[in-house]
Amino acid sequence: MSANGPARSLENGLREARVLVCAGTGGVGKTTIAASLAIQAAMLGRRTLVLTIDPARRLADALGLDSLDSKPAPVDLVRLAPGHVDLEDASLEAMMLDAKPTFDRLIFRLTSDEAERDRILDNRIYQHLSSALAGSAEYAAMEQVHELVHSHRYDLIVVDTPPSDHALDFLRAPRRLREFLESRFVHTLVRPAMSASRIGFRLFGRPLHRMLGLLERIAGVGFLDDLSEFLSAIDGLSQGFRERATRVEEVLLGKDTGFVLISSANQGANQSTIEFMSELETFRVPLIAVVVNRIRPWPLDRSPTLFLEGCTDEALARDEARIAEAFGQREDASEAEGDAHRVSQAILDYAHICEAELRTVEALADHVARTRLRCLAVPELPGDVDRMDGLLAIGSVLRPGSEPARRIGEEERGP
Amino acid sequence: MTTATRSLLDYRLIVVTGKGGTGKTVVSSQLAEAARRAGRRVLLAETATTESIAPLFESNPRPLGYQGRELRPGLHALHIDPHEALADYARIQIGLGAVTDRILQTETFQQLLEAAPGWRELIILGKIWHLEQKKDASGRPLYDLLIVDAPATGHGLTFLDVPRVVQHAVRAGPLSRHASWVEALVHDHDRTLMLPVTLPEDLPVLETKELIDRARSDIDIGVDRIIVNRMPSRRSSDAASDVATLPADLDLECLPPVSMMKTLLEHSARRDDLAFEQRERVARLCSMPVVDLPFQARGFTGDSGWTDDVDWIIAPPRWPGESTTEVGHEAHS
Repeated sequence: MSANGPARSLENGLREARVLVCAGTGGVGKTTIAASLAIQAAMLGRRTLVLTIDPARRLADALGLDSLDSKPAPVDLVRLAPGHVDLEDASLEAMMLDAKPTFDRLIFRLTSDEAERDRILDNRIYQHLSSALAGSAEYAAMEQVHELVHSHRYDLIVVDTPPSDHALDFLRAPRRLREFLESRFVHTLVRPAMSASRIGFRLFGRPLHRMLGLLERIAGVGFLDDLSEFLSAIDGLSQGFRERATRVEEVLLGKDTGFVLISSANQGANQSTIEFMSELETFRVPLIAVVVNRIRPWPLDRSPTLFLEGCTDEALARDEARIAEAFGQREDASEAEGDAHRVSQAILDYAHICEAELRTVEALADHVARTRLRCLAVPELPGDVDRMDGLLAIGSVLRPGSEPARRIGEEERGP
Repeated sequence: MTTATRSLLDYRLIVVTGKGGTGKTVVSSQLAEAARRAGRRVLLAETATTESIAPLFESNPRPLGYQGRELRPGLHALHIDPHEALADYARIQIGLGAVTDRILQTETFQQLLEAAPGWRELIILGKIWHLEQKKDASGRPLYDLLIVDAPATGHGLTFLDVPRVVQHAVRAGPLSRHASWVEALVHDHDRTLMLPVTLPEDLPVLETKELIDRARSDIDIGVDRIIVNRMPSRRSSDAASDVATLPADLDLECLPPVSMMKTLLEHSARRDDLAFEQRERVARLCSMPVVDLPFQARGFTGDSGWTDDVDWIIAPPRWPGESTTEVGHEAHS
């Protein structure tokens, strides 16, 4: 339908994908965008589930739910937005991701022997790998998505990912663990079934011995004991781990999955977004759109840059004098001058911010264009976006076939 | 509720924490510059994977590297890369020679290291401890103030908690001993302060509350104020009410028509109001006074930005509402 090919547009994502993953750095409004997209998909007649992480619980309020928990709850769209014909047959459910200890859950699922389970859960290295290192919240999300996709209860699942500084922790987590479990080293240690003690390690040749000695001096006495215990305990499980990690990757990288990157118009977010993109490429993740959220509206026809160029010191001085004169009818002269100056400075500040935002967004759009994708701009709304009307307003910008979604770089920024 | 808070300049170690995007690095740099100007000998350490401090001070920055360098007189900055710090540690603390370097670089060792809990954090903190101990020729501490731009992940708290965890987990040996020294420094409320940086927005405020709750309950590190970065002024809302009194047909040369100025300033003012609400909220939720850093509408770069503005950071913290503080906004054009 578009020059970008059928699989790589937000329109097609909303119509055809089974999973839409909303990723992006913290504070860009991911949760809000995820909810807006889910509502739009529901309006297109797809049975949709939005999976969210929202510590503020505002989304639950916006969706008219007392609370969100880890069970899907139906959203009563008709009651929340009366008068919207599109919503009458829409089916939307929402649930909160359970981002709590997930490797633990996995261990519970994979082990039947209680003693073995406790041995793993208490192991220091397990605890470390499962939380600090491995991005388990992200993994949790993907585990749940995997299960929900296979339940076939939904046509589309929209996933809000946890705010993370590293874009793809949720991809890296299973992969890293799998790679670790498959490493030659672990393999050698685990295979001979003799590694459950330090003696096992000692049987290796001198170089390895020396290496382990150094490791123990860095990581502490007891590290090797813990490691060998962890490895032998997990030996029986590694097959299960590997299979699950693979399946999670399938969900994420499959042809029915689309990633939507959310960014905002500040430079920091922009930088992370560019880093995200290159990571997504490395992992061959199917990116379908980049959304730049909360761009300040600029109401003039000419760009902020042109506007600022027009504001020479002389022209500004004349305008300020006119404004002061208009004020002057009710105030004393010096105060009026000060107030007039404040007005012009506030306007210039605003223009400077818009100019900086625009420059940032254009740089991002250029970068995005190289991947033949579109950057979609969502203007900042005056009111609280985390209410149904806010979600609908944002959705209408992103909705298939709607024109308000400005394609940055394709046209000049208008009102 | 109001406790007399010390000046930031009276601490020895300040760990600047906050989620990515809050401006933690700029705040750390600003604090370092303010302290340097106040005559302190400052060490500024960045710990993120990629360096970003040097560009705030120089227009053609060279990387700082692990050894670091003098960015300004009295301000030494370095980038602590955990792998380099580990090699350093192995050489100095454990006393192993050239063979160590080779081992440290082997793939197997790297893989095993990945499994070792918290080594990165511990090694970085260990390095900071080591720098804190440094003396000059006359036996006086080499640095008066050490500022750490903490890693953004896990609120930077995992970072501070590691020595305690390691100490409990590692039963004996040099590491346990070193961890206990580092832990003592982290818990020393007289010398060490955690300085959380937040933005006046919903999510960062909630995350800051979480961070401070955990710092109080789990880590036992001193916290006495919150830095609220990018605080707007009240200029837009004052200007908006002024513009409302202007005749709609006022003829202007370069500024937008009155109605448009009104829309634009009102939009801005609404946004600013939200920021003031969030600032009050973070102080209330955390029972802690705040320090405002003004939003730089005209952008911020080290070269132009380090003028007189750096002292905002060392101003005494205030309770929002105490008296509505105007943040200075005389932007430099």
